[in-house]
Amino acid sequence: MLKTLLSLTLFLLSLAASLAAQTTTTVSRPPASSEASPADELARRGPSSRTPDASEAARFPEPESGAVDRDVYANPYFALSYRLPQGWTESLKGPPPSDTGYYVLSSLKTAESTPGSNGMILISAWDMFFLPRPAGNPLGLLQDMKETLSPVYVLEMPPKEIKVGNHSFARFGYTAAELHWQVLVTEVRCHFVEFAFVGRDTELLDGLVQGMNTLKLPPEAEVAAKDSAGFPACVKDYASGDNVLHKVDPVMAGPRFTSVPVRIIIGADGRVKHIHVIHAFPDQARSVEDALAQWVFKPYRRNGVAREVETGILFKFPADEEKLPPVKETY
Amino acid sequence: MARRKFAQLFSAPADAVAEFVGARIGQRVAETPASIEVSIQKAGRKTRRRTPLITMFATALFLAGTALAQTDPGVRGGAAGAGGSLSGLNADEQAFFQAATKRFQEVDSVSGNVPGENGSGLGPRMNMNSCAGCHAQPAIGGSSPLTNPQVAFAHDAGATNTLPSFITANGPVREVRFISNANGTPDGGVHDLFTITGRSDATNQPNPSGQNITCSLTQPNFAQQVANHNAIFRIPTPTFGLGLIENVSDTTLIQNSTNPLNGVFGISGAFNHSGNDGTITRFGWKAQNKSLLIFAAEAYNVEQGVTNEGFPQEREEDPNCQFNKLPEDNTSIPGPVANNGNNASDYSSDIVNFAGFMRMTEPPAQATVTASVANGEKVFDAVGCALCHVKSQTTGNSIFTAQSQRTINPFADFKTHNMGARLADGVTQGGADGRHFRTAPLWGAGQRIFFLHDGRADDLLEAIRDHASNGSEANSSVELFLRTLTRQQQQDVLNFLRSL
Repeated sequence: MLKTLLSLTLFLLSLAASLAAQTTTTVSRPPASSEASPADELARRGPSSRTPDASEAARFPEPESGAVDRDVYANPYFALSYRLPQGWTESLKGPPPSDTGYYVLSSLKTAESTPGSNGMILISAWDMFFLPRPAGNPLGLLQDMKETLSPVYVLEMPPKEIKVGNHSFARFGYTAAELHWQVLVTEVRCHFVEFAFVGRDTELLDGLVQGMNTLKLPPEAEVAAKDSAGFPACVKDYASGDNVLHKVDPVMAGPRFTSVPVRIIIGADGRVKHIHVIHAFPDQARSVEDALAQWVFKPYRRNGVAREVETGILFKFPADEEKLPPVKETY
Repeated sequence: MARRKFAQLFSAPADAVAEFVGARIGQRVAETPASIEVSIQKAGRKTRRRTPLITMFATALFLAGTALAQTDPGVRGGAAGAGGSLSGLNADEQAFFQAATKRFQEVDSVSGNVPGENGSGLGPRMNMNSCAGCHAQPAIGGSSPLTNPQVAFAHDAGATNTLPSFITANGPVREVRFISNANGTPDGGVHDLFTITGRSDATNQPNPSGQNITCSLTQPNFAQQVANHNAIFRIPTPTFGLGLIENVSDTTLIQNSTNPLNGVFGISGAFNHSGNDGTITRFGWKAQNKSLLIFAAEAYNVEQGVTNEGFPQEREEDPNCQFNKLPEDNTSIPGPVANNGNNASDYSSDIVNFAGFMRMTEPPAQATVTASVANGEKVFDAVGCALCHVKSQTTGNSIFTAQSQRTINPFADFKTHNMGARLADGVTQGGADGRHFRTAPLWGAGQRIFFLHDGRADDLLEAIRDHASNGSEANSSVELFLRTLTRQQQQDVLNFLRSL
């Protein structure tokens, strides 16, 4: 009797275990209010921007200012718009831009009501002026990605150049853990704009890549020329050497040994028209903005005509040559 | 909690299932003649209980009807996979480690004359009276134990402390920090839980001038701070293997953290740096501490109130609470301060011994790699977890025998990453702001009880889910884990983590 009861018990336990692999569970979540921490408002690192002539502020969107509205992700900085695939929705917000000029522009997911076809789309951008691993073009970025891929991934599509609509992209595909990735990258305003698609279903992914044909980007010729009427030219290291006629160094602020990447737009008159501090503590951002507003540059010229130019500067706190007294370690 | 414990059954071997059923039922039901003997393993302690078989049967029926999905297998039982000295040390180094381990276990009182509390210098304000009291699970040097020693310590030697609401018998060991000062400026510092008020060695006792004094301090108003949402918590970080981490070069850390694939997962992160020499700092929840010696010295002063050669001033300078000459812990000139069988250790200060203990502890050992564990590691890698929880680092040239160019597996890049609104604590330390935390090393996760900086999770699945919220760099990886993996793949990842 005892033996039978024990056998039955173990049988039921194993049945429960096998069922466990097929059914869902609900893990209790902290209340939504836990997302709204008052702590969050204090001294957070992030972006900041200033347009000295406030009347022109609307002319200068930032890379992070895109949003999903009525099933379209629109980003005025990149003049990009992407219609969300049917049944997809915006997911959690990504982090603010990083100190290497990396942006999570938008994260998209399949709606909860479509189990079995779950996937993700991550739209992101790298500022080419601050890349931690330099790459000259989208294909170079993906080739570098391929070379450093973990052995867990299996190559499905080596990096290659393709056309999406009328735009040049580089594309790369790989798989692991029954998931498949398709990564497409293009270049806009000296940024690599990246679409990463991931899911279990290769047909789903192929459909998503096909759907990229509806993507709207600035005309390729304008991007290539880098000085169209729509965009300022983007020129690496323009704010250096003889191009700088007058400069004021930022005052040391915030934690030491931190870097602050900044993009500025210089007007045809050589004055700073817009400052975008990509990643800084608030007092560092103020210091940089106050200083840069006073800089004067030699006007950028193309074909003999002075034009607006966009460039990047990396400020270090403290500057390399700056000597400061020691600080107490914090615990 | 009950749900988790039940759920653990489904991924556990049959003997563990029997153990579990015994644990749940044996605690509530009186023994009957119709019972079988099962063993309970809870946080490394084994006891024996007798469990009624009929109740087991009823429980099995219940479980069959409410089968759960992927679950944290729970704290791995068996011997502690950590706590010993580094493999390959020579005899002198091992002798120092053994002596330093004793010093790490030293219990402090104010005077050093309280029975069982031979160390001196405790307080006036503190969180605990021994390093090993908090760094205890699964062995000396680890993290928070199952039973919180702070509960009993609140009234140690006659102390009259009130226990704050966030310190509970079965909760994690915690320190508390206040986010901002009353005037709204940032605070971020540790506010000690307890005082020496009422202790026998702080009441009508002589100060260094021979004058009898009585310490009478009040605790901060923690209830008010909690009500104002101004209190955040930290639990002890495990110290196993930290000497090897201390020895990894900055160049190696940078190389191992710069992966072009980061952009596919929304990951960036940044290293924290010493404000003095600019090199990468790597210890503490926000990677705010440069070296193990600084870490030990500061913790000794902050957590136990013992002034030392690194931090020679009392944080609380009420003249009626100063019973000792300063610093209370120091290198011995007249003779050894301890008698633990190693001259280098015995003549050295406590903080040098604490740092020495941490520098010479072996990293946690991984348990047997099953097929599920092996697959779990691949899935963990595939969904991007391994981009921050970088598996391997390599040490540089080490002064310790056989520790140079050693490949270790901490599963951490030691960068700080934005962990989003849900985990934000509002405290800035160096370059890490209120949302940034250091990637926690995962070695030893299999035998940890509490997870995340404040110990809010005692379940790995819960801890993983807490990695995702608006602003977090982990969102893509967590979404992939939760929404695209099969339940078996998720279970494999959890099994892998509990193997570490």
